[in-house]
Amino acid sequence: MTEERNQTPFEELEQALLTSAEKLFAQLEQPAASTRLCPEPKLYSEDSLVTTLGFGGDHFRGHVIIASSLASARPLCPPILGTIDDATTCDMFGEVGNMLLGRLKNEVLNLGVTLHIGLPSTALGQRGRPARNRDNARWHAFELPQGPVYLRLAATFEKAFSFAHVTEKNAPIGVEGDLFFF
Amino acid sequence: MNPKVLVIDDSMMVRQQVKRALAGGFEVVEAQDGVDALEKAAQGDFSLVICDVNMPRMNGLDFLAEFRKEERWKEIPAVMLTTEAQPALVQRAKELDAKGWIVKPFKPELLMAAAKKLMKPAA
Repeated sequence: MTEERNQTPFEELEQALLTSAEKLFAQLEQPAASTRLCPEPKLYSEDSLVTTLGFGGDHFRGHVIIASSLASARPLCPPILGTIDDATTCDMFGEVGNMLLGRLKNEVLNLGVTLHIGLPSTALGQRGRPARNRDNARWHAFELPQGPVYLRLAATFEKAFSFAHVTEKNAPIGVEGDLFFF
Repeated sequence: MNPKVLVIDDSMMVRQQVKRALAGGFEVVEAQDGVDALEKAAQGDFSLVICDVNMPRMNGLDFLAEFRKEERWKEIPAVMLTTEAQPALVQRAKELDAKGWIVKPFKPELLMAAAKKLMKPAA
């Protein structure tokens, strides 16, 4: 059975990403007061963080960028032991990106699509400036309690790509925080 | 002396979180990927392995496959701690005799409870 879809694949993936981000920020006790489409943010100063994660699957590929000031990023990271240097800060923000793409992966599994994600790459300051927006990319701003966090989704889809119905075989085994014993 | 747990994750933040969660009940040894973990495993007597899936150099499932090849490590319980929830990966972990699967982010008390339930009894 084929279901008619009103959204483009990009819009459907974008919606899944926004849902994933809202849930993640809420779980990290930094719920977004609002979310909006926005132009490329101008935050590439010395206190900005930019994490990039690539992804791909059958007939599609792309990447997600998460950008934020240090002040907005720190509350997303749990307290850790010892000194927080630049490398630690990048590691922490990269893990936030990893958790976000993990959630996205589980969201799209529910749409019948398997998404393979790469490892996060994080830069602090000017080095993190991403390439300019392309036609197949959009920025969103999430207003968190300590300031905005920006997400950019870029994705290209071949004609053969389609979201399918989820089946028992490919449904995710659980949601974030779940524990299973075998 | 507390039982030893080998915690494998490429994120220092996650390793620290696990260390905090298990503080008081376990001695934690950290490894940053599968290759590092195989070296660390050879240096200690571990009661439990907690392992991420997506890591550079050697991922968690490939690590577990190598780990299980060693007779002395066959009985050490392993639990996967990952953002993944894909059935094919879970199935592979089961085949490699993993004892549990936790989807990140995790609750510290849940991890402590799982570690106590799964750890290998002292010889």
